[in-house]
Amino acid sequence: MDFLKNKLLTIVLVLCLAFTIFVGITANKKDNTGIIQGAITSTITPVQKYIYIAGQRINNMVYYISSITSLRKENLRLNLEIQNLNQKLIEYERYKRENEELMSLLNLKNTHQNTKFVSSNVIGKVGENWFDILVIDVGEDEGIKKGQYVIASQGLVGQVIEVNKNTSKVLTILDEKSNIPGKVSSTGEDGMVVGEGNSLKDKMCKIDYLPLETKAKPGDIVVTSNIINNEDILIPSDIQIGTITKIEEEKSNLMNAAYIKPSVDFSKLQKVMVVIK
Amino acid sequence: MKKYAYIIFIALLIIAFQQALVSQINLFGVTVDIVFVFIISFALLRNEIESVFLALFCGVIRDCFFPFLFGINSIVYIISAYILSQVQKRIFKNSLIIPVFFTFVFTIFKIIFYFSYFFIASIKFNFRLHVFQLFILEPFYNSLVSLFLYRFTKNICSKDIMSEQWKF
Repeated sequence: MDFLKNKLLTIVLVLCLAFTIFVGITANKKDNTGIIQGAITSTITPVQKYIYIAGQRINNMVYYISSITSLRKENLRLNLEIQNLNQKLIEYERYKRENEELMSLLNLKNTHQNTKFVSSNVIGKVGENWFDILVIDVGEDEGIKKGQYVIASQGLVGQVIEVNKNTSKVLTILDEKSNIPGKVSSTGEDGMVVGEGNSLKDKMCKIDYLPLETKAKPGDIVVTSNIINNEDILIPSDIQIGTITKIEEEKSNLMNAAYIKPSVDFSKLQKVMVVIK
Repeated sequence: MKKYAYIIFIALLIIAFQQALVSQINLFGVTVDIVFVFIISFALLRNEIESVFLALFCGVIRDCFFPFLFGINSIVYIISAYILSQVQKRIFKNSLIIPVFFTFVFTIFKIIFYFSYFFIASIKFNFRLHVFQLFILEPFYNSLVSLFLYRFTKNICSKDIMSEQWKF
């Protein structure tokens, strides 16, 4: 112990140097994965999973109590919405039948792809105040690869950025670093969905590079588009990202940007699915 | 050795709490870092070897969960723990102002450090938009939490298992 005490400054400096080298190595490949990381994350994962679930239960309880007062109003609103949707459903059935008939007349192959999902639990949120990253409890063993999309029941959550043996990290669409191709569903205009993580209120994202004469309006739905192609992974199209709340002209870029309210509630995420090939 | 096992156990618990629970709670888009506050409180109460050991242990685990880079947390934690354990020998610390003040100062130091390393690693941030949240809110929240966490750490350190053994 005395030896340690006398040499502590040297040890601290050596450690700092060593970790700086590690930073250099990982910064070069932009990928923080390896045997040590894999081992440590998979040992902590089980403990963290239970604490996360407990936290979500408390969160749900608080939400339940606070929502009792607005239940009646919400019920009425939802009933109205069901009526509207039922009408739309009849239309949809008709179009679907027509579409199938026309397709068979033209001998076109059905373009709808079969997607497979791996379901997983969210076990934590990391990256401090700089990044918006979720940790999920599936990894290489289940066939997860970098770049795959992660969805929840309401819509898109984000993209896998790092894969360890039993865990992986998901960059959510709220993060500034996330660049996901999307399109406005009503007009078909393509754009890039990025996070707007620094707002003081609710975190949002926005879709950039919309044309100046865009016909998109608040209330329109933004979905993912499979405009990019990757051999290893499947990029699913038409997964809901959110609804447009505001459209803003970016004069410097001669482009329009639209702010999106994500359809997924990121504070109440427990189960997510990874889209695999 | 029992003492170090105890420190490791507490550290694991605090890290799990930070990553599963505390990071969910965010006020105005900023979350508290209780691991960092715990390391500062610990460094103010214990000797330098124990605090550097705790900082190293917490740092490596936090780094494994950190995206893109490995090592930033460890460097920040070790340097803070070492400097504080040197400072704490020379000051009178029988007041709650001390942990609050040091948490505030070292959180700002941490943010500058992170930003410079991200800059070197070419991970670009729009610094101008982050200034308010990072430089005002995070140090403020952390120092508020340190009021409670310092007492908690004091309780932990007063256990029998943590007592110093005299050598003659």
